Amino acid sequence: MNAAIEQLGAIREWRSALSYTVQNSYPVTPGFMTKYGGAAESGLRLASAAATTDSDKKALQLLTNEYNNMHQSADRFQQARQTLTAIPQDSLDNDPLDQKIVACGHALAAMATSGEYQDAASCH
Amino acid sequence: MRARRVGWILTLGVLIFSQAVALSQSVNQSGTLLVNGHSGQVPVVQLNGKSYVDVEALARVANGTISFQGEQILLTVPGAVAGTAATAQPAASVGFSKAFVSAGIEMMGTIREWRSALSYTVQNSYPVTPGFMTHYGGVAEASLRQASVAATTDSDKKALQLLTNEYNNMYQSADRFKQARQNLTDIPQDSLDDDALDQQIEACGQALAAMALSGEYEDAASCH
Repeated sequence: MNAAIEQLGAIREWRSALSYTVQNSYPVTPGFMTKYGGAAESGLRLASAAATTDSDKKALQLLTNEYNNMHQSADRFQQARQTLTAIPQDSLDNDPLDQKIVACGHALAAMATSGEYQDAASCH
Repeated sequence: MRARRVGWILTLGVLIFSQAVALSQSVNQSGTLLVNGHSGQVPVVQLNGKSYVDVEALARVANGTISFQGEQILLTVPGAVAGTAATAQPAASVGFSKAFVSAGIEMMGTIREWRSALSYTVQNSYPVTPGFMTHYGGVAEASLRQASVAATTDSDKKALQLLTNEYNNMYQSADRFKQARQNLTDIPQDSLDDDALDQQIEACGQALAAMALSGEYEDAASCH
């Protein structure tokens, strides 16, 4: 549970920083991906090592999906910069993938609070 | 806990009964028993100046259940009816409430976002603007208000003070960079490396996360 909350925090940091970066037209660089993606990946590994019960393992799968979605969300902006594609400042407004990440994060936080696993469509 | 509560309920039942029911000195008669706002007619036996009621009748009046296990009698009654004397039970003041833990975790998440973004901003020489403060500080402040509304137990309220301190420290940490930019003061990219206030914020965040997990309040020096 501790590792999962830490991992969720790392994803939140990543998503929030991506949002601010895009809104201010700052570049999403490999350094950005390393700082935030690296912390989230490390958190995921810790959560994986801490997963012992069936519920832990099922929740871990959702955490992994959340990580993958966040990586995908950030990576598209990194790719756009590398290919010199213009990135509108409102790119993340009403973005389905970004909204899915938020919804999954909320579902996982609710699970952490209740202490019980419950499948969440937003995490698939 | 349940046994203690049952004992308390029984005591309460007898006390209320003694005060609420006017009994004659006859040995055996019926009276009105009031328990936790529930009332009913029960047979009463007077013996040596004391009033006795059938425990099964007591359970029935209190909308409870009763079972017998060997020499033990297990009486379970539901919560008191609002507005009765029994609503003064202190159970709600023990530990963290679920709503507060949820709001507290959310609040700590916003502080993490703020701190992490500040670190990235300073390291990359991006400006800490009023917009930055509004973006992150505003969210954290709204989240703190939510936690404040959710704080009901004593533990919630004590932890809320630590959350407030954490918010104030984070605000102070970010604000100094905003001020420096406004004053055109140079901000080294390594400003937050080994920064005492930044480390205090991190340590307090970890202490609060540990409290949320344990479900118990414990004072943390890093949050003061």
